[in-house]
Amino acid sequence: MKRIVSKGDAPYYYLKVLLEFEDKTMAVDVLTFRTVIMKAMMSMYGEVGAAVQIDILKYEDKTISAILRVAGSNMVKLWGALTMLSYYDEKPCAFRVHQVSPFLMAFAASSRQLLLHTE
Amino acid sequence: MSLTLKVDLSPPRSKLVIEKSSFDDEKSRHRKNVEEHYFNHKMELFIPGCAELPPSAQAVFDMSDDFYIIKDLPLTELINKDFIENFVKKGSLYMLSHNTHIDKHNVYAVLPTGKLILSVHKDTYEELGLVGQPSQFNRKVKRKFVVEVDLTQDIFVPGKKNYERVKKGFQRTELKADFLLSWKPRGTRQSAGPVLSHFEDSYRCDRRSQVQQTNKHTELLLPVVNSSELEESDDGEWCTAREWYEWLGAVSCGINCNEAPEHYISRYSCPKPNKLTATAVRRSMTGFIAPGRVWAVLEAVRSDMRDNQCPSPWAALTVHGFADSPVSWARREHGFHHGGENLYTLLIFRDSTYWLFQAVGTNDICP
Repeated sequence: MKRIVSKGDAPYYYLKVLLEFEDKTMAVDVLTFRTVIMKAMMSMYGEVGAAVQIDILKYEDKTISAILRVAGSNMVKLWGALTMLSYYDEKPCAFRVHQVSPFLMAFAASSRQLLLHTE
Repeated sequence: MSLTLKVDLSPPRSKLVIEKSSFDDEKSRHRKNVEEHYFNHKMELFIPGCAELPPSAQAVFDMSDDFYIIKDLPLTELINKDFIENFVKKGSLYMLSHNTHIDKHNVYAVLPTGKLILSVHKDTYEELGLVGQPSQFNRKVKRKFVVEVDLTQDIFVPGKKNYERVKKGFQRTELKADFLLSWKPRGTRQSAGPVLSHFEDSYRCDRRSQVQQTNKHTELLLPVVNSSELEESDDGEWCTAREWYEWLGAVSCGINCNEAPEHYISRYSCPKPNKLTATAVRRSMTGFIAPGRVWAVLEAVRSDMRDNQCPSPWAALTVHGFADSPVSWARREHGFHHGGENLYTLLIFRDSTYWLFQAVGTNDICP
């Protein structure tokens, strides 16, 4: 039997995010979405921030939502930059961070979404 | 006077335990791990190399297994003598308050061991007048308290001091919640019906079935793993356990990892070395799942693999716990901080060795 325990900082963090525009009809493709994130990092941390590797693992253009992957050491920076973003291309918008986890597997289920109603 | 702003850029802490063992090992903890993870929200079985689930596993998934939801149930009902005698003591009872967020609300749970666990706010705790412990995760501010009541104690009966104290506390605070409930009577093949009729007259009850879903994959890249080695090899002959775990997470989330898109979008792709499999099947069940069902699936998959019912090199069983459960494994306290993950994955190999991944978030005790 062998046991490996990893405590503390995980190598990667994953974020489930949704980009909301005031203009609900906005169409955003994955490249634009990536640019919005880069601009957010740029305005907060400058060139160094813009160069941080962020992976868009999954993107849904209907809802403008995505699963992002970022190194543990940059997670707080990315979260902060996304929160502070309020405009893209002079259009008001905001990121909603739905779920954050060091395990990608955790995004496969969300017990808080289990809503049962009795009639 | 100077003002310094201290910004903490470290991410929230988490824990991942990876264990390699064999089902045949006497000291193996796999059974304990499954049985003591009481409140399961989702179970997912992934088998590469098969287009359909093998017969025994399929049969366990097809078995009907309902759970109940009871609306606005006062906690005084949980210490009702008839309830304790007929249900708590005569089977495995799993109850968890529904739609209560452990970082915001009071949360209650009844474990199959007969323990009632209350995770309550400071003001409720003070009004309740019962002895408990401050939550392990905010000891300094003492925002939440955990109270344990042993329902199965012989002296926990009406008329005794402790019982009356608990009853008065529940009456005074008028605590109530919606509860998810699952009950397996001990020994007999009796159904869980009586527990529903016990509550039906006074409270709104509803029977729910687990939601099942099947996904089929074709032409999927599988990372190559070596059942006897968790760490990476010197010349890259196999993937590490951690890489494999991330990959399985990607598959479960419906992420295409066969090929990476351009670097600007993502650099993630299936870890190397990998092998192409023509087909793979993924079956999931979501709801309120008792550990007995998880155990049945595990046993079925193992027997299918022994009987060579599927040509797959391995099978993976993932179980997600409730984010707002007051316990993760056994009586280990669980909380919510950015996330309430408490999940485990069993990677079952043909030679009866297995890898167990246990993942928990910040407000959790190491499993």
